[in-house]
Amino acid sequence: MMDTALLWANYLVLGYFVVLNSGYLLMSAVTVRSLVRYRHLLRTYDPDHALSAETLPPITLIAPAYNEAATCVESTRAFLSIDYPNAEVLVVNDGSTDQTLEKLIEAFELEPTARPPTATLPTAEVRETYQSQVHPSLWVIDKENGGKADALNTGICYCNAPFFCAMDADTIVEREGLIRMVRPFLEERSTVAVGGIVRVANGCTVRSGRVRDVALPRAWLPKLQVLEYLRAFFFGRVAWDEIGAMLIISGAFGLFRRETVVEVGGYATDTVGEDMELVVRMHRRLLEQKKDYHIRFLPDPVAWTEVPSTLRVLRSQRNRWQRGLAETMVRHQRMLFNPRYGVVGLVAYPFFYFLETFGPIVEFIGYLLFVFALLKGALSLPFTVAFLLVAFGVGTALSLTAVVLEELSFRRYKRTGDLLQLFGLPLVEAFGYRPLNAWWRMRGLWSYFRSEEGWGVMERAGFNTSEA
Amino acid sequence: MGGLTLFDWLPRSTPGPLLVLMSVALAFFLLAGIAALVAMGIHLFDKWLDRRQCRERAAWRPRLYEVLMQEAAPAALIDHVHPLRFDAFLAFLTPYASTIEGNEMNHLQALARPFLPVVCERAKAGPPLRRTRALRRIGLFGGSRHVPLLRTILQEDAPDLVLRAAMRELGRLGTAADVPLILETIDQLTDMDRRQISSILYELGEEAAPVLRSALVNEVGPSQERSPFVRVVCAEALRWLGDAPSGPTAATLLRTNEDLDPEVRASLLRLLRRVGRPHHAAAVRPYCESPVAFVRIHAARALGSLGAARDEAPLETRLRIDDNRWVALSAANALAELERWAPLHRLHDDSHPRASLIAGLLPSPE
Amino acid sequence: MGDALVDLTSLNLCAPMRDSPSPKASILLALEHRPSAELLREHLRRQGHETVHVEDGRDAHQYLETESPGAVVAGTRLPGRTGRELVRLVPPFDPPVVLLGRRGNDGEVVQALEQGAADYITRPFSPPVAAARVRRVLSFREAFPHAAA
Repeated sequence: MMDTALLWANYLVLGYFVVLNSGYLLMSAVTVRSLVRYRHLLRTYDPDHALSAETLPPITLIAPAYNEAATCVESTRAFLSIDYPNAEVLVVNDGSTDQTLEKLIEAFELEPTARPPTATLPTAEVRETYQSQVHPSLWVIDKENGGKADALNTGICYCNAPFFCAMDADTIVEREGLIRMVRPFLEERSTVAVGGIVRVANGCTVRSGRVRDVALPRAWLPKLQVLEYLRAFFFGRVAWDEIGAMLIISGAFGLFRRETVVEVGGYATDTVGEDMELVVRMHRRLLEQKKDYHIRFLPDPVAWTEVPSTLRVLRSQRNRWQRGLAETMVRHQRMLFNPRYGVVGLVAYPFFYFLETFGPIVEFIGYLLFVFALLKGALSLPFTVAFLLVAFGVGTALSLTAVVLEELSFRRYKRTGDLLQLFGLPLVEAFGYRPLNAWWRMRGLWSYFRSEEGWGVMERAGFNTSEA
Repeated sequence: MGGLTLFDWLPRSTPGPLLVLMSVALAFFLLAGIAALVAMGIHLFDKWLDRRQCRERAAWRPRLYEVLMQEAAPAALIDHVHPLRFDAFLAFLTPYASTIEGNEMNHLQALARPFLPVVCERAKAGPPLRRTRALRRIGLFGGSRHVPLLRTILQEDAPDLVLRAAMRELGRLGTAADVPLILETIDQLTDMDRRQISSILYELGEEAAPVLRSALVNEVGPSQERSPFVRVVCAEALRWLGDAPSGPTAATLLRTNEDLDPEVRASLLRLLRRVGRPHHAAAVRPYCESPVAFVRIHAARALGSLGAARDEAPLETRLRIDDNRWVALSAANALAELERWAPLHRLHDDSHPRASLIAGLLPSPE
Repeated sequence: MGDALVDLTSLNLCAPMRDSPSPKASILLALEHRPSAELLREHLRRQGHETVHVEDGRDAHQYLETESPGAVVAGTRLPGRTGRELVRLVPPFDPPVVLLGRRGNDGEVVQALEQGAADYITRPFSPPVAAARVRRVLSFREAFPHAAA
């Protein structure tokens, strides 16, 4: 009796994996098609040509900083060295309790300078606006603490440019990052947001805000995340972009049309996933207003970020991501299967809702049930083989394909040894990292349901010293 | 159940659907493995290509310097380029071409010249992206002799991508005579960012101004009405050219034309701000009350450069009660530009909710 | 037609250099944009100057702390320390810093010159003219060694 129940439960789990992996397989087909086209486009788009020949719209970079005294000067310098003719840098000091503001004042000779806000999103109170005497295009806004979303909103309020780029203070943007990001806006006037690819900076040689040498990290945890990021980008974002339903723009790097963001009300301050929430809300509002718009994803590798290298930090990051995802998905639930929202409501939303948000529960319970049933001897050998093939075999194959796609399209990992390792990683990943990840994500959901407040710990070492 | 018998036994004792599932999964797994092997091969091949390119460029570089500095004839370098490697050679020259100008640019173009006929062939037909790249190279290394080719491409029914590139390069190499052709092409490319097109028109120089002006007033006749989009980019280009004669044209259009598109209106107001004279302010004033916010913004800005004492009151109204903050901000800036400080001081002293808008505008007390 | 430019530069801009006593003054090229650095280097070398090329502002800063080149050419968007920062970091005109940046932002050029940059070269540039400008900055410094300080 119990064995039969176990068997049926396992069949259900198998069904879940079939649906999930078929979804990814479909996406990989879409991805391959769009990448083939994109590779040509990359070769024909010469950023230097664009920079010298075209008139580019002004962009404001908004970088919130909270207690980043150790790294804020270096990262601000890195923003200033992004090659774009009329970019302004707005660092928003979100009520830091350390020396962040003092460090910035000293390094860039900041002077209090009045600057009128251009929008009125509700934010925590602004204490003072400073302009740098060394770089007139650098401004620092000092405000009361209000969280990252609040700091971004403050930046938007003080933004004079038609476009703003929201980023984490520790994101490393490639020199040509902005000019690449702005291309979709130039080609399609109705573009309202563009997300960029974010890659793992651990292991790379980073100096003065430039990635000088790309290499795989030595530690296991970041190494596995390299693979995970590749998979997320090649089997998610590229495909969603292709069908016009991009729901995620990473908070670490995204370019937005200011006017549209102000119209929809800016970032939400009551969620931990403000980056995703904003994009979903933009889709929702613009679709409700029946406006012609594009939210794009750019596969060029343009931004790098340091990923957690300890289990503790990674766990709390995943916990936060999952909570943010669940909050957003539930908040805009009315888009689910709603034909009014077109392909977003009918395809992307259900995918994210059932598979990405609540999938980890099925996935984790599935792993448990499988092991339990296996030990109890409730599973036939054919079923066991089929389960292993579908859940792990296809998962591994997908990861492998992601590495292949990376090698065929962007070729960032130049060392043959690194590539060999990347090909080996999917085998390792399936049996340790993915179940662990599913567990963390389930915990994240759990804490969402208990509406646990507070942010996870995210400790960063900073990029001043390069990892050798 | 040894390994050998497993492969015999498993298919026979597995239910059909499960078997299909298994084989599909297995097939995909194997496929991915093969793809990985292929990718590895490509990786090694690419590495070899990279090394070859490095060697090649190292050999080209010193000769390039010599040619640029006229220490050697172009042939000294061209003779070292294998005809099949012309693509790599032009790619090598490209960063230098966008760095230099003047005399050395002529020498650089001489280096590329023998390879341009092939590039022209590529620009004429083939995959759109390849054509685009060829067109860009023509713009970079070519000269006025390539203008007819660009014109032909614009007249044929090419893909948008190609049209865009051809238009851009025609802006670089062409003359004022090409404006009508470019304007016709613009009508097909309304997705493009306005600034991009205006800058193409701007690059044709001030000889183009009369043609742009006539497009702006829509003189072509009813059979060939210019779209608002075209008129906007013309106004923008005229503004960048700082074309003074278009001031009266813009003022007349604003005064007489009741049913102008708001975008066109705004661009005319921007144009007037740049090239207008104080007596054009009369044409601007009514638009401070326009129902369209961005028209009000540009009207207020234009008054900042053209206005007079009598504009103080209407601008102050905009500053205080307009429901759009950008209009208020533009009005504040306009008042400061006209040096009408009184309304700004009043706003500051009233501690009006909008007092923060004028931060930094008021002259410091001392 | 092309030769006119060369004549002009050698007459007007390089004239004071002819009797310049120390043709070996070294020049620090702090530029991330390689083609610019290469072309300037070739021109300056052929005129007898030693050049040192760094691609990172922190290296440039370090170099300036131990060595004293005759002049510095620094990119405006140099990573580590931007060209503008380098201008602020060295004593006024000791050594003079020539900035090199993209064309297009007049306001930035004016501000940089007001804040102590010795000159501002915009890209695209004519390499001989740019090299002549750098050499002029050098020669002024040699002709009036105490004027700046």
